[in-house]
Amino acid sequence: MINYVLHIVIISEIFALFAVGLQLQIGDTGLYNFGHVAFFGLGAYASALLTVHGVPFLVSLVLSLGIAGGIAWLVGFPILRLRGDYFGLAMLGFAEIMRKAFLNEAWLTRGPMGIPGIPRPSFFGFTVKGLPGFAVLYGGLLLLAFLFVHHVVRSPLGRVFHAIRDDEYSATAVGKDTFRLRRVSLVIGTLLAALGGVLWAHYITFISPSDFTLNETILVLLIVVLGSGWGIPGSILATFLVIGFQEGLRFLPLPESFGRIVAPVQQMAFGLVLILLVMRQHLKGLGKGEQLAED
Amino acid sequence: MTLILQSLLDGLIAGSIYALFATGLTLIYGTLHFINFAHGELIMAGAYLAYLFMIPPLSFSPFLSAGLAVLGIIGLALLMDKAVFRPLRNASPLLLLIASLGISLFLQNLAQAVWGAEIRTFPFSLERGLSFGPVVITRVQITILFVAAATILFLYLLLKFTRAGKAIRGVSDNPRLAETFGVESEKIIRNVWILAAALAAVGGVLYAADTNLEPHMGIINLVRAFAAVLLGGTGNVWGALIGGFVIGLSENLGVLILPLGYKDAIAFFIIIILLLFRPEGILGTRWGVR
Amino acid sequence: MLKIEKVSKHFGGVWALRDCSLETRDWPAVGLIGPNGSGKTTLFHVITGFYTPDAGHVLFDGEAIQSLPTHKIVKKGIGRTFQISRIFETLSLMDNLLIARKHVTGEAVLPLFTSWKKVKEEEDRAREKALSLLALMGLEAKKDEPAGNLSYGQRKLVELARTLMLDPALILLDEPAAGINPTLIQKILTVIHALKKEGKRFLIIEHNMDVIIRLCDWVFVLDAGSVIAEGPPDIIRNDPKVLEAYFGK
Ligand SMILES: Nc1ncnc2c1ncn2[C@@H]1O[C@H](COP(=O)(O)OP(=O)(O)OP(=O)(O)O)[C@@H](O)[C@H]1O
Ligand SMILES: [Mg+2]
Repeated sequence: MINYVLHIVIISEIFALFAVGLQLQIGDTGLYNFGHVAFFGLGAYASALLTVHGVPFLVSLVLSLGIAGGIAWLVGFPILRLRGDYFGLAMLGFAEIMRKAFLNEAWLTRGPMGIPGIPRPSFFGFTVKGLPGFAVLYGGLLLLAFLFVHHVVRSPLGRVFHAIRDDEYSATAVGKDTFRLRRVSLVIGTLLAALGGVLWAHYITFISPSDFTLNETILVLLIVVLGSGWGIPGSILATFLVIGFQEGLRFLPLPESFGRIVAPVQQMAFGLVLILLVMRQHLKGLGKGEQLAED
Repeated sequence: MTLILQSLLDGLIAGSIYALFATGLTLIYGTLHFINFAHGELIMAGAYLAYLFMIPPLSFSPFLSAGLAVLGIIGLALLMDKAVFRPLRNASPLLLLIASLGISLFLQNLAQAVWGAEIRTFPFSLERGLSFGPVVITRVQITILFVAAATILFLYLLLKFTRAGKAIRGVSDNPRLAETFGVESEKIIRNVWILAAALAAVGGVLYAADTNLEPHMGIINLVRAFAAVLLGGTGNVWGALIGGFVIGLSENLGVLILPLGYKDAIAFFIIIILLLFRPEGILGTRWGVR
Repeated sequence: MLKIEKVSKHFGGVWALRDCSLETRDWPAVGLIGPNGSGKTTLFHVITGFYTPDAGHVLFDGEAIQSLPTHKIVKKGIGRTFQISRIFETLSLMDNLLIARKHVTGEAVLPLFTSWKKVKEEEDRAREKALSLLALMGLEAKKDEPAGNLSYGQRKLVELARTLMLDPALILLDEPAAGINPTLIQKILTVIHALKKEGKRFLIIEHNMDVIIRLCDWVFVLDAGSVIAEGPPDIIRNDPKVLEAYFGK
């Protein structure tokens, strides 16, 4: 029982990193990134491949973040020219192309068979083994990430993110290089997603392309929408709620015949919740910041 | 050479189906100004509904099943609009998009809960193909081409000659007109949903007849449709129609040079490239300052 | 100071600007008038880099700026307001003003962690300046309120204050007096007069001739995207060509 709880906590910690990255982009900067999962996947694949080939965990962690961040920086060049739903859709396209690459570049990724046997995190001669170890290590990293993002959001940089979210035109009219700033937000969010992906790979020890689909994107979007209005802490809390619900159901003693439909029914519930949250947000008059076209 | 001819033919057939998806999606985009992610699920649900009528115990004929499926999907679309999109009428396009993502997730998993995740096919007997020299076309494919052409002709006549059709085109060609239409606009929106749903359902049945059915078939077809919409210029019905054929052809010709596994990524490539390099038609109007 | 040379800009088939030329020379405040749709706002968008002109040059202190991005133009010393005020609705009035600074150490990630002290000092200095500008506008009591709560007229004041935070050498105002009450108009006039004395230059779009006469030293008249007349305000208002542009023959 305690192991179930620890497992849920660990998964939540991983997804919280993933969600905080998206909250920074959507909630603070107005970048509706529907392809966030690509960077979660990139982090996971990069670190899995590196460590399987003998690169030490810490080195691999840094390299993987660098790879994901670098790719976000490059992708930002063309895609950040877009805004609003078009930006979101182009990122979604990028994420699907990445997934196809994980699937098709089998010489590197073993394609649909995935990468098994990813080593547990180890550093300075110490290897993380038991669930409590993971919970503490990942919790610590989440805390660090939280402090980092919190500091950024409350700084002049965070203020200018909020300004861009409210009205990008005004921000340029007062001399802000909004392209650069939006890219900074994209890259920071990506680093958090990639960190989540790395931690995921080394906890689950097996990854495959089906871990990084549109479903994960919608899940994390649901988390962010659920936590919206309460900033970064809101998305962390929302993560524990949603993941707790998702993973918790798996351990209910359900009859075999029912088990087959648990997952889809759960996803249906998520879909409904997302719809209801959006409708509530609209009633509260939120989500207006993103209306760029004006006449 | 044969390979190219065969690919052209396959591309044409696929394109005629995508054209149905795309015209429906662009009508919605033109009138309601958001990307309806659940359009793919209207396609998927149309195929499954027809399947339900075709298999025992009902065992209806394919045409009757398709007709009933169209009616069912029109109902579904109107329900979606009434429950979700109407209350959100003036919301930002992003909120609408996210809400439609929620609907998409819901319907996909509903299908999976009912029918399971496995791939199914319509219970047609496998008819032998007719061959024209080295190029092969099946009876089913010929039927698909006919039905698609008839649907497009029907759409053309509807939009061109009926009062309701002209009103729809008026709104989708010129968003400002929406204000002019005033009270009429809810009626126009309803007609647009009916039309878009019917196109999605017919297309979904044809697609399933050409390939197969599975609960997640909606998403890739939404992407194809959206690529076609962008190609044609958002809100432009005939543009989307041509866009659909372009996507069908580029997928089937594209795999001649790309690995087969990337076939489904072609529409995404097209979307990204279009979004980036058509700043006037697509972006210019969206990001206008005052 | 500002020189527009044969600038053209079209949207589809509409020429919003057509061979438009004007020069502000040494006038402290220059007015820009013209009937609705004559291209005034479009000219502002071109000057500030929101639009790239199809042809022609924009010279600021002798330097061609027509293909620079907006943020670079702003840093060269041109500030502007919008015809329909654009402010940061969820940000407080104070934050609205604090955004408007040219070189902010704290707007990059690394300095946030390495030069926190410098970031703090800059913040404190900017805060003081913002406070005095809010006081000038009579809005200091609302400094922590979200700007979205403000009335139409107050938004214009915040937008103006925000522009002033940047110390622009040239300030473009798009209809500063439109749709606000006479008291507020008076307030804006007083502020602009004071700034003129400090040596700031203005280019002002305005339909209210009274405001133009009281503020401007020289006026250009735009019609169908071209300058059709220029002169001192009290003379230009009776120019037959101008009357014709406004009222037809
Ligand atoms: N983004 C745009 N797309 C298409 N046409 C535009 C655009 N911006 C301006 N126009 C057109 O260009 C012309 C000039 O517009 P502009 O806004 O510059 O006029 P204005 O002189 O500021 O008018 P007003 O006094 O009403 O503010 C108008 O005919 C307008 O419709
Ligand atoms: Mg104007």
